[in-house]
Amino acid sequence: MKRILCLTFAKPCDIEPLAQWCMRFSPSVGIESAPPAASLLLDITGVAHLFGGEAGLVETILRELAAKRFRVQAAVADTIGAAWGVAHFSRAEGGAAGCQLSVVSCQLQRTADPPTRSAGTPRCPDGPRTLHPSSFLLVPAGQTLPALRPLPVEALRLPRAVAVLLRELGIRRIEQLEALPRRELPPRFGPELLEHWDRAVGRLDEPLPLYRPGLRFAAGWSPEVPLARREAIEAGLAKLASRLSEMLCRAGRGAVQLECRLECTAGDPLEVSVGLFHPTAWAAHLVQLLAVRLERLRIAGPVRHVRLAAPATAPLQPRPQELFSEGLPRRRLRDLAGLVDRLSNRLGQHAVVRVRLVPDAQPEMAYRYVPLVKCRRLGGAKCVPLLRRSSAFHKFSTACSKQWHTTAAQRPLRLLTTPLLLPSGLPLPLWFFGHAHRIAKTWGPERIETGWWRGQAGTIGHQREALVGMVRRDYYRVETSTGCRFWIFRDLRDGRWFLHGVFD
Amino acid sequence: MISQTQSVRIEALRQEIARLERGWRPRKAQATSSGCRTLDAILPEGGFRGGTLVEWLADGDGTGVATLAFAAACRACRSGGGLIVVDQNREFYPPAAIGLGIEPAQLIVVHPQNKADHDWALDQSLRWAAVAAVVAWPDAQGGTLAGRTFRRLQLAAEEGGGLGLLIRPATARSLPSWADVRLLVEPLRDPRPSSLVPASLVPGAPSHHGRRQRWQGLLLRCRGISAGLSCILEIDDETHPVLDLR
Repeated sequence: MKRILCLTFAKPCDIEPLAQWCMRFSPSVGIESAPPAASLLLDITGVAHLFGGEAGLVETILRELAAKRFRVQAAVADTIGAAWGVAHFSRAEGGAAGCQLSVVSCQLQRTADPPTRSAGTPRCPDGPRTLHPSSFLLVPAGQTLPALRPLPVEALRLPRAVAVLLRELGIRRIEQLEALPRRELPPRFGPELLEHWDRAVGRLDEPLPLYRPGLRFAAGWSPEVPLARREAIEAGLAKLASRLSEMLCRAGRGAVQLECRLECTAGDPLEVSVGLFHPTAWAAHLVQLLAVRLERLRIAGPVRHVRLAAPATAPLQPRPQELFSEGLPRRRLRDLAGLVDRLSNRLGQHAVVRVRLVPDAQPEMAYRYVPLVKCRRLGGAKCVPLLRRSSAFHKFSTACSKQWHTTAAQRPLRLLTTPLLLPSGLPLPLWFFGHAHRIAKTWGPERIETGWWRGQAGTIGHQREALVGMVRRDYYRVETSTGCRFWIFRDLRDGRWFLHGVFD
Repeated sequence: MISQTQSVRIEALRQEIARLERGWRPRKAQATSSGCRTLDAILPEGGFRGGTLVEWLADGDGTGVATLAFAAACRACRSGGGLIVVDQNREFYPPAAIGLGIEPAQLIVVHPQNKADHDWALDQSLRWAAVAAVVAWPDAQGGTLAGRTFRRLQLAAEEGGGLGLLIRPATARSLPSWADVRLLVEPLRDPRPSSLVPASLVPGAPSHHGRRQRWQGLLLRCRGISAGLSCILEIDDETHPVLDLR
C-alpha cells in the first residue's frame, strides 16, 4: 500500500529548490505541474514512522515550511490523484466539506514559534507579512473513495475542456460522476476522464513524476551594489564560471551550450548564448568565450544580477595522456576544439566550417560547408565528435579525394561565386580583372552536364543566378601568354563564354 | 690569397652570422618540406620551419601561387594537426585543395566578415598549438597587412609552432616583412605545343600531354642565407598533383 503526501502552495513559487529541500523527508519527490500551480508529491510509504507517524511527519514539514513563510495545504492519501485532489479542493469547496467526513481528520496548524533564519534554504517571496495558517488532511488507508466523493470534478486533474463540459451538464461532484454508467463515459467525455478517475481511486497505477536534482547547471549572483565596470562584471562571471565548472565536474559532464544573462537596472536583460565544439567544464575557457562576446555588447546600465547556465551538456570525454612522449608533441585534431569555439563565438557559427564533398558534377555544387559548432536545441543535446576520422562522412571524403587526386589539377583553387560573363568570344583577347589576356594554350573541353530533373532555373550572368538548375557547359583550362591559367566555360545553351575559376 | 686559417675563420664567422640571424626559434619545431625539391635545396634547413611565416608573392591572377602554398601546407599537415584557411573573399574552392592532398578532416575554413575579424582569426589560428598550417590572403578586399599586425602574426606563429602561409600580391614586395621566407613566384609558360585534340575527359586516363606547370621562384628574403637565389619550381598534374614526391 502506497502513501502519498501532496503539498500545494498558496502562492506561486520556485518549486525546484523546495523539491530538493523535501528530499530530506522522502527519497522520492515528484513535481506535479497540473494547474493551477505546481505542487510537490512525496512518496512517504515506509518513512512516516521515522517522524512519529503520518501526522507527525506532515506537522514537521508544515512547521518548517511555515518558518520559511510558506503557506501550504497538505494531504496524505493512497494515490497521487486522491492526495492532489484532497489537498487542492477539500478546502476550496466550502470549509466544512472536508471536516464533515468522518474518515478525514483535519487539523489546523498555527505557527506560533518565530521563524528561524537559516542560510541556503528556500524562502517565501512574499516577505514578512502576517502568517497564514497551514492545514493538512489525512485520508486513512483504504478510504480514498469516500474522501473523493464530495469533491468537485476538477479534483481529478481533468483537462479543462472535459471539466467545463461536465459542469455544463450539471455534473459538479465526483459522487455524481460515480453514479453515471462507466461504459458511457469514454465515448462522451474522452478516454482521459476514466483514466484519471481510475488513477485517483487506485484502480490504475500512476508513477510518481520524479524530480531529479543536479541535471540543471546554473549559477547566479547578485552583487550588493549594481556593477557598472566591465572588469567587475567579468570578475563576477569568472566566479560563476568556476562554480558552474565545479558542478559540471562533479556530474562528469561538460557544457555544450552556455548561456549568460545580465539583468541591468535599466533596459531589458542581456542574454548571450555560446555554443561549444566539444563539451568542456574548464572554467577559464568558458570565461574567455564569454568575455569575447561581452566585449561587443552595450550594457544599458549597472548590472544587478548575473546568471550563468549550461542548458545543454554532454559527458566529458576522457583524454588519454601519453606515458612516453618522445620528440614532437603530437598535434591532435580534437585539440582544435578550443580554437573552433573561439572562432565560432566571435565570427558566428556559420563562419567556421568544415568541408564536405558531395558527389555532384557541377563544380560549385561539389562541396558543402558544414558549421563545426552546431546550433543545439536545449536539453537532450547529443555531442558528436565532428572531426572523427572513422565517420562515414570521412570514408566518403577519402574516397572522393582519391578520385579527386586525378582530377585536381583540372579544378582551380579559386572559384568565382558568380561566373563572370566574357564580352568577347574566343579566340579574341579576353578582358577580365582589368586586363586583356591573350590565350596561348588550351586544354579541354570537359563537358559538365547535369540532369534534366534540376529544371531550367535561372541562366548564368543574370543578377539572380540560381545555383540549382540544369547546366550544360564545356569547360576549358586556358593558359595566357604570360603563363597564367584560368578556367573558362561556354554555356552550351546560348553559346556565351564565362570565366569561372582562377588557377591561383 | 686567403690562407687556410683565414678561410676557416670566415666560415666560422658566416656560421655565427647565420646563427644570430636565425634568432629565437621554437626549439622543437622541425622543418617540413616545401613540397618542391628544388626549393628545399636552396632553403637553409631543407624546408620551412614551423613557427614561422612564409610569404608567397605573385603578380596578378592565375599565377598558381596558391597551389604552391597549399602544397607546402599539405606537407606541414602530415604530422597531424589542422589546416586553417582564412578566406575573406569566399572564393576558395575546397575540392581543389583536397585534390592537392589535404585531408578533408583536417581542413577548417574560416569566413571572416571584415578586416579586423580576418586579422584576429589569423592571429588566433596561428597561436593555437594544434594548428599545423594556416593559409590566408591578408591583402584580400583591398586591405593591406599593416606592419604592426604582421609582427603580431609572426609572434603568434612562434608561439603556436605552426606554419603561416600568406599569399600576397607582388606589390607587397616594397613593404616591410616579418616573414622568415619571402618568395616571389612567376609562372613560366609551358614550352610544349598546345594540345590540338581534346585532352581525355575521363579523369585519370593516361594522356601523353602532361599538364606540367612551372614557375620561376625568386627568394627575396630568407633568414640565414643571402637573398637573391632563384629556382625553377615544377608541378606535373598527370603523374601526381603534389610536387616531387619524395
